[in-house]
Order: sequence, then structure tokens, then C-alpha cells
Amino acid sequence: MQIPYEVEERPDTGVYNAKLGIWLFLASEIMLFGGLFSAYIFLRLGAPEGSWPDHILWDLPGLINTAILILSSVTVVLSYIYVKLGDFNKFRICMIITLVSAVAFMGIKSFEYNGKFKHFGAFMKDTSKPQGYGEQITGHVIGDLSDYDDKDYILVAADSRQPIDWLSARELKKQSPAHQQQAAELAALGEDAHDAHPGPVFNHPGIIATGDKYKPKSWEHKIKVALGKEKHKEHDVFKVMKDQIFRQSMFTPGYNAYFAIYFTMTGLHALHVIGGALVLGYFCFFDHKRFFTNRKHFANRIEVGGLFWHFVDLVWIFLFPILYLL
Amino acid sequence: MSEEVTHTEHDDSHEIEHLKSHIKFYWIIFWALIVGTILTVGVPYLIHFENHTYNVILGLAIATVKATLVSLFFMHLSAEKKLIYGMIALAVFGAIALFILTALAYWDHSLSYYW
Amino acid sequence: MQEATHTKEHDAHSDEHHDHGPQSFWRTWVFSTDHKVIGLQYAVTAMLSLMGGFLMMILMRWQLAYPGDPIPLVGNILENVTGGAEGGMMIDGVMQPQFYNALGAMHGTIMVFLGVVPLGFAAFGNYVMPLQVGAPDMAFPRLNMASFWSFLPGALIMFLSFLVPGGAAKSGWTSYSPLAAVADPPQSPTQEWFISPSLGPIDLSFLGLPADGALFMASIFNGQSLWLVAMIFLISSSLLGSVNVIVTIVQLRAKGMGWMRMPYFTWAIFVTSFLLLLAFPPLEAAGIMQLMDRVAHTSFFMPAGLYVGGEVLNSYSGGGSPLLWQHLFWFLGHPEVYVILLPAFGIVAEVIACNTRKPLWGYKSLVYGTIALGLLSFVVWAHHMYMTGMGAKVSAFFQTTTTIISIPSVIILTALLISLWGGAIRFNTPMLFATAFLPMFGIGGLTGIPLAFSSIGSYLHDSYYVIGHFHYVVAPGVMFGLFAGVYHWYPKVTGRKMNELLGKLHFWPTLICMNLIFAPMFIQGMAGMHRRWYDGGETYELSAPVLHWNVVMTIAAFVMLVAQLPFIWNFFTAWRYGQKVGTNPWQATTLDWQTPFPAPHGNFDKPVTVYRGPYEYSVPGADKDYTPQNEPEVQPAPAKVSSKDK
Repeated sequence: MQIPYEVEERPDTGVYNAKLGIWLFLASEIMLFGGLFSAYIFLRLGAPEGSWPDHILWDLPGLINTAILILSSVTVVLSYIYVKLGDFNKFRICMIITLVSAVAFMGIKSFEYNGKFKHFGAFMKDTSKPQGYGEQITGHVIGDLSDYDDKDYILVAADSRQPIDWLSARELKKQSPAHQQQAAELAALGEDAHDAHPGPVFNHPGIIATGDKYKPKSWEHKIKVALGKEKHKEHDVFKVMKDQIFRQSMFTPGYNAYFAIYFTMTGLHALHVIGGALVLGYFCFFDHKRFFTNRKHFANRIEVGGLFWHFVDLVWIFLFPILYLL
Repeated sequence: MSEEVTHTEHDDSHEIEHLKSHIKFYWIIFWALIVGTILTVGVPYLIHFENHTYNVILGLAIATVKATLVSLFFMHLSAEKKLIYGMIALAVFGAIALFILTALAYWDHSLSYYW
Repeated sequence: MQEATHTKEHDAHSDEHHDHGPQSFWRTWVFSTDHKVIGLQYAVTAMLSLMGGFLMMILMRWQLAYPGDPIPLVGNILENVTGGAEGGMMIDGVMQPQFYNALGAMHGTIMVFLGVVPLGFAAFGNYVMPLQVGAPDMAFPRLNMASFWSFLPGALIMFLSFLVPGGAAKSGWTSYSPLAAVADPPQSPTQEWFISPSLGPIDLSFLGLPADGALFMASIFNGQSLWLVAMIFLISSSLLGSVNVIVTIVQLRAKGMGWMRMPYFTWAIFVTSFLLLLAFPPLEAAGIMQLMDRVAHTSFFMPAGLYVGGEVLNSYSGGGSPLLWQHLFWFLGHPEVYVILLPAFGIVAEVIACNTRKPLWGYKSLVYGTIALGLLSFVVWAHHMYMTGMGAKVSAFFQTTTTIISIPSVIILTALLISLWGGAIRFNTPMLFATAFLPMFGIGGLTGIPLAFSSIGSYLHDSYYVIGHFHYVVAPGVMFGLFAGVYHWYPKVTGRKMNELLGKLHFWPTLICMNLIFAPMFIQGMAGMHRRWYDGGETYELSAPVLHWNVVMTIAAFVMLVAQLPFIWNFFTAWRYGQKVGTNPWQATTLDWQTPFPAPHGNFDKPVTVYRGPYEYSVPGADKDYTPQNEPEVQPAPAKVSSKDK
């Protein structure tokens, strides 16, 4: 039994089965990511004013990943052209570049994830707030979190880049008097708060300045200092009292609504990258005999696989600005 | 018979020329996309909007342009069959219904705290 | 060039050869790629699920009519299965609120996602649709198999979730957050795993999981999380299925099968698959998010400052939106109503056309009505959410679209009703079910119109009136359509008819009991009874005047259980002993009845060509009262008869 129009186009519709199939699948994928994007819109619109952490991710890895995916998109469409032209070697080179790009993308992604998982944050108790917590402190734990199991405090080298509650200088003036004073100091310095404010100021009794300095060891920090993105080579160390902490965690999906949507969307996207790479890799290394036996069919397969790959690229084109930049 | 063969050969060579012209074109699109990406990252550093909303709108506008380039040329939507356009139109209809109506319900709501 | 075509032919040839080899039992019946076998697999799974969901309802009905009384016969067995008195589900054979909640949530889920949709869309769609369009199989046979083998794990996980600690999901079939996100919290990493007390608890410590890993396992292996995992399987399955169906209908239609020559059932399945394709993914996204809420403690649906048990919840960051879940759920939830309904419409249309021996009245208006229904169903969902504090403007929008969507429904129902007019009706069992479908669905639909208005909806919201309304649509409505389909296509599958007397013994008591069960719900609902009271409203003063209906409904439900026995008996005995019939026992015109019997893998002996519309019954001047779609016109047509349906 032969299914009709598996390889050749049906005259009245002008497409072969798999092409219609992949476009329908992509339609459902649009709705899948659409659900997540509408969740993003909801969470962002619903966040109390100033509490949405805009532009907190380091954009360089995201920028590189965007370029990598765009490159792989070009090579995948070129590999389709070379199948049509009958040039097997060039097809294979293009496809291998695509697969290497996928691996590079995942490598950079895991570097970013790893950095987040090593970042600490704590919400401090504040009974005057309806949600039960007030200020938060973020940064690197000195040593390991388990070192503090038998102590009643945690030593945290606070990030100097995010002053309070992820706020940037232009939003600080809406906050408490102490914050407003800090904003005035920043204005006097005449520099952008993002780069050169004097370091975080906390008003919570559970956060006590120790006066110590700490030099983060992470690669992220070293690269940022080298690039001049990070002006502070050392961070101020604070003592955070455990009994004053409302909740604490690493920058895992559970940390706040932003990281929830960040990890879920990029994680689901990463699964698509892996899936697409597996299929394209199968076509490249295990199904290549079809290139010589039934080139039309092979070209169809590459086209369909490529359409999926472009869609993965397309999703990233939107993910990059909404998660990294805006 | 022979006429037919030459005809297809002619078609093939024409097709090959056509495909080869594509290769160069795809690289042009590639550079356009790279420029778009750099613009998205760079613009907030160059222009400081008082209202952050303008940043968001600009960023999404650039992303939309990039997405259009990818779908039109890499996904061959610039010359696709009517059937495929129909399927995409349905998906766009569904997505717009989801976005617009949930956003409307968000804005017109009496219990703002729970949102 | 020549060589290339030669190898191409060779390739196609070898593919063909490959398929013709003798196939093992496993390839033929278990991991089959034949759409007919997959349809049967779906049918069997779905009918077992329907029975399971029905039995859950019987247990609930006992509790509602006789709260606090031990359940006869099965009370102690259930207590053992659900972990004994310590399990907290059943104590001394008496149903506890937790177990009632679990049964309620699972009855809804199982009936909708494992019963009615798989039977109507997946089973009939798989079996009948490719035959009706004259295709050799589905467009992607292996994808079809993958679809079933993604459905089955989902179904098994759903049923087996009754056995994990804490029992099955208890947050209603809608799984509203934040209730669903905080339900069944993992108690401790070392909790004991039991299947049943008689087997003893299973100590999983031998796996040597670290404490984090054990806690992670515990956060997955509980009722609500397993519900979500199962839903993700089921959604993936239906996505694969709907892609397959659309491609089959668009690409594999036989020669001459134009769009307006497709049988209405195929049209209904076509529109249904678009609804599944586009409405289900947002729920999949929502399911992933709720699973993240439960496993990774994110706050997609958790507002800040949530109090649970008098204490502010500090294991969640807050900042999420409970209403986001409702939006994403009902974005599927409302199209899902039409996913349930349309295949039944299709079946009823086929049965009515065949048994009235005349063309369907208004075939085109049926088709366009169905398409309009499909499109409109995407913009009405928030009428399930009037009570969430939605503003007046948005409420007005949704009640307008909701009232508009009743128009195509009425068009379809009216067309089917008028189709009966002047027909020489054969009242066999499928036709009885199909005709009963019309008024029953009519009641269900008309009682829904008040619910479309936000003012009335606010009063009737979550009352038994709502339960009565949608059960009239689904139970005597859609289920009757599906029963009609089972009786109608049974000879297609087995070559034998089901017994008519047993069929009527099944039909009449079922019809009467259905009305006795669901009509009193309108009365109870308008009196103000809430749908989720586990004691049937016994402890509420307002329900006193209508409380006695509980007993009536429960007795009717038990009688209806007995009334299904003739069907089950009939279904299995007719397989071996039913009256043998030919390939086309109902003298039908559509292509599904024109294949050889038994239909081989590939369905048709030779490629089919379609010459006429789907319902050419009693054509004046024809030599018999039906003209199959693939019957060529021998001599110049006796005038414009065939142009009617073009």
C-alpha cells in the first residue's frame, strides 16, 4: 500500500503531505508558545509597579546565541538548496554547521543557567506589606550555603548592579525616603545607576553591612569586568539574619515570576532545539542514502525539518528581546 | 520525445540558476537579521526614552521585522500555496483571539489585586 | 535523469513490498499502523474509560442520596484499594469528602478526555473518516500509531493516580489554581508508597535517591501532578491526531471528492481537528506551568500573600495570576465543547440521512454552520468566568458572542430536524438513538442560553443547573450520538448486525433514566444547590425543598447502569453470533460502505473515483433508492439531480 502524495505534490492543493503536516504542527506550536507569551504578558502587566526586573540578564550570551541561531537558520536553508542542486558535500557541510550551532547554543544556554543556579536571593520579612515580605537582597553567598547550616545568618556579597528590588535609578525616586536619598546621591554623581552607583543600600534590620569586600569568582563576573560592563570588581558583603528571611532560594524558576517565565520559556525552547537537532542529525548521518536514491523525497524531508528549525529560530527572535532586553 | 527532453533540460538549467541566485540572497537576509539584532540591543543604550514603554514597542517592532524576514524568505512564505496561507491565517486568528481577549479581560477587571 | 526515475520507482516499489509481508500479531493488532485497527484500539480504550467514569458517577450518586451510609457491596473493597482508614478516602465503607472530590474531578476528566472525545473524534474519526474520503489510510500511519501510544499512557496514568498516596486529583476537572497548585503537597521525602494495604507499603529507599530527588519524586507522584502529566500526554496525542486528520482530508481525498461532496461526518471531524489543533496547545502550556508551580515551586498562578490554613504561604514567591489559568483552561475548555459535540452531530447526520432514505436537508448550511461554530468557539470562553470579577464591558462582549454562537448550533439542529420531514424512516436502533439525540441536545442547548447572560450566570454559576445543562448536551446528547454510531458502524467492522431487540431494550430505559437523572438537576440548581457539595446538600437549609430529588436521581442512575447490560451483552455476543450481513447492510451511499469486506489494509481494491454528492437517496428515476458516491453515471444523467449537492 502506498500513501498518495508522500513525495509528489497533489495537483489541486500544490503541496505534499508532510509540508501541510509540518505547517499544521507549527500552527499548534504558535498556539503553544502563544499560551506562554500570554502568560508573560499577564505576569508582567500584573507585577506591582517597578517590581518587574527589566534588563537584568546579561545580554551578551543572549546576543551571541541569537547570532548563532540566525547563522544556523541560513545554513539549514542553504543545505536545502544544495540538496536541490545535487551537491551532497556542500549539503553536508551546511548541515554540520547547523548541528554545531545547535550544540553551541545549548552550551551557552547551560553556561547561563549554571550562573543563575549559583546566584542567591532572599526576601526579607515585612509585616506591613500585604504579601508578607519587603526588601530583597541578591548576590553570591560567601562560601557554600550549607556552610551556614549551624549559624543564624548568611554572608552575602550583594550585587551592586541591582540596587533594591531590581529597581533602576529612574524608578528609585518612587520609593521610600532612604531610596529617594540614594537616588539624589546618584543624581549628584551624574552617572547612570546601572553602572556606577555607590553600592546597594538596605533598610531592613535583618540586613547588616559588614564593611567587608568580596571578589566574585565566577566567569561571568570576570568577563564583565574585562569588558568594562561591571565597574565594581568587588562587592559589599552583608550579614543576612536567617530569622528575618521570609523566603530564600537560588535563582531557580521558583525565585520569582520573572525567573519562572524565563526558565519555562527558554527551557521549552531548548527542548525544541534538541528535538530539531536530533531530526536534522538523523537526516544528515543516517538517512543520507536517500539523497542518491530518491532526491525529491530527501529534499522534502530537509525542507520540512528546516521549516521546524526556522520556527525555533523565530521563537528565539521574540524570546531574546522580551527576556533579555525589555 | 526529444523535444520534451530538451524542454526539461532547459527548465532544469533555469531552475539551477534560480536556486543559485537564492544563495546570495539568503546571505543578505542573514546580514539584515544580524543588523536587526544589534539594533535591538544597541538602541536602548543610544536613545534613553523617558517612558520604558517606547523601548518595549521599539524592541518588539524590530523583532517583528526580523520574524517577518525569516518567515518570508527562509520559510518560503513569500511564494507559498494558498492552502498554507489559510492554515497560518487560522493560527494567527487563534493567537490574536488569545492575546487580545485575555488582555482586554485584564484591563477591564474589577478585582485588580488578584491579577 | 532516467536513472533517477528508475531508482525512484524502485524505491516506491520496495516500500510497497515491505508492507505486504506477513505481519505478526503485534504488528497487526498492537503496534498497528492501519487506521482501522487504531480506531478500534481507541474505541476499546474509550469505552472502558466511559464505563469507568460511569461507575465513579454511580459511587458519587450513592453518596449524594445517602450521605454517611456505607456503600453497599464495594465499600470495603474501595477502602482497601485506597489505603484503608489511614488513606482517609473511605472509613468503614463510608465515602469521605476527599474521595468524593477525587471522584468528581476524575469523573469529569475521564468522561471528557478519555471517553467521549477519544470515542467520537479518535475512534470514529480514525475508522470512518479515511474510508469516507476514499483514502487508503491516514496520511501519516506511523504518526497515527504514535498518537494512540501517547494516548494510552496518559489514560493509564490518569486511572492509576487513584493509587498514589493522597489519591487522585481533587481540584475539579478544571483544576483551578491556586487550589490545584497547593493540593496534595508532598508531605516529606520519606513518605511511604502504597498500592494497597494488603500488599503493604513499598519502601522506595532502596533506590538510594538523595533527599532532593525523593522530594522531587514525591512532588510528581501525587494526584494533581499525575493529572497534569497525563493531560500533557493526552494533549500531545490529540495534536498528532488532529494534524493527521487534517492532512488526510485535504490531501488524500479520492478523485472527484470535492469539498462539497464530502459526507457531513467528515466535515465535522475536519472542523473538530482544527479546534483540537489550535485550542489545546494553550492548555498544554498551562499544564506545563501548573506542573512547574507544583514541582519547581514557581508562581505562575500563585498571587502574592496567599493564606493557606491561616498562614501566609512562603514557599511561593507570588506575583502570579490565578485567572491566567482560567483563561488558558477555558480557551481550550469552550472549543472542547464543540470537539465533543461535532463528531456526534456528524454521526447523527449520517444515520439520519441513511435511515430516512433521503438527502440531508440543507447540506451546505450544515457545513457552513459547522465552520462558523468552529471559528466562533474561539471567542466565547470567558462566559465561564463571569464570577471572577470581570468588568462589564468584557462581560458584554462575551455574552454577545455566546448568544451569537447559538445561531449556527440552531441551524445545524434545525437542518437535521427538517431532514426527518417526509422521509420513509426506518426506526432501527441507531436511528432511535439519532432521533432521540435531537430533542435531548435541544434541551441541553436551550438551557444554556440563560447561562450566556452574565446577570443570570452569576446566580446560576456553579449550581446544579449548570451540571444539568452540560450533561444534557453530553450525556443524552452526545452519548446518544455515539451509541448511534456504534450500532450503525458495527456491521462495518464485524460484518454482523447487533441485535435489534436488545438494542431497543438498551435504548428505551436509557432514554427515560437520562431524563430522570438530569431534569431534576435544573430544579435543584434553580433552588440554589451548589455543584460541589459532597453530602448532596443535606446540611444546607436551602436545599430542603428539593432534597428528595437526590434519591430519584440516584435510583434512575442505578437503573441506567442495569440498562447498559443489554448493550454490553449485545456488543460481545453479536461479534460471534450476530446476524451476518453484506458489505452495505444499511444501503448507504457514502464511500465507507463501498469497500470489500473485511476491508483490507489499504481499504480499497482499486483507486476510487467519486461521481456524485454524499446523500443521493431515493433519486427519482434511479433503479434503486440509493446511489453510492463512486457509482459512475452510465448514461446521460436523468437531469440535474446530481447538481443539487455540488
